[in-house]
Amino acid sequence: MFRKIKQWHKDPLVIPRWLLTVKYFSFAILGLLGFLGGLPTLDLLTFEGYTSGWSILLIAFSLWGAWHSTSEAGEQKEKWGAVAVFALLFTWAVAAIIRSIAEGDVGRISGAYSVLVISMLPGVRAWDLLRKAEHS
Amino acid sequence: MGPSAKGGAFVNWESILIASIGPVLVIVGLIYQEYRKRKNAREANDATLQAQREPTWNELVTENRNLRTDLGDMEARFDKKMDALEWKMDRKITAFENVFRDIFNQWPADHEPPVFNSEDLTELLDNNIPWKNRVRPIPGLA
Repeated sequence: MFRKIKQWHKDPLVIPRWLLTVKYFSFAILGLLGFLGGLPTLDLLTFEGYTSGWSILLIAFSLWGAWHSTSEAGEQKEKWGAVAVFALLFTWAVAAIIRSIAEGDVGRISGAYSVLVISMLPGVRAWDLLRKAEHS
Repeated sequence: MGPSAKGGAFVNWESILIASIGPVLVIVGLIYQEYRKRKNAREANDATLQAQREPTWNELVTENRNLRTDLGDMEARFDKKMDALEWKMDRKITAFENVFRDIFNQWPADHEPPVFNSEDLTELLDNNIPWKNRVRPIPGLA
């Protein structure tokens, strides 16, 4: 049983590379939507101009990640794109959780949680790439 | 919580706190990156040292060849020793056989003990035969 759990824990999952690139493009579109339409939670909880900066950074780092995710040679550069996208999404998730708690609105928790789950996509990738760090 | 009612770039500590989550995470990522770099380099170094400690294929082949040569020499020495031992044993058994044959051929001998060939007795000197001095006279020498 323990061996099975260990195997499950270490068993790698191979996905096609295009999915990775599409993921980064999706985050860039999210950033664009946030820039154009705003994000109510971040607008409410942060200072003026933060959401625009957040969206621009999300677009920039997503495009950076998308560009370098096209080949294995760019993984060391893609890594910082993944870290930055995770950091931005995690910020949004924390802000959404704080808002749902502060306003006492249970209905917002699912939305906040979904952002947290989405942030795991670049988070897992960033974690994996950081683990493979090598001295250049 | 929230922006000022007056609008503008009002900044409170809560918004600063939320805005700082991203940079903090990036800094944590940088620290973790450095930690993993050192750990991976250490592990790679250990693996290299381990590989250097282990013998290479050529070293193993040379060692095997030397061992085979040593064992071959040892086997030859033992064969030689065994041959010498067998030869000695054959001579002793033959001498013993001759002594017995002399005893039975010369029995009864008018209450006289039997006589033997001197070569057989010489061969069996360490066996402490009581009548070892009773040697048959060699024809022509007497």
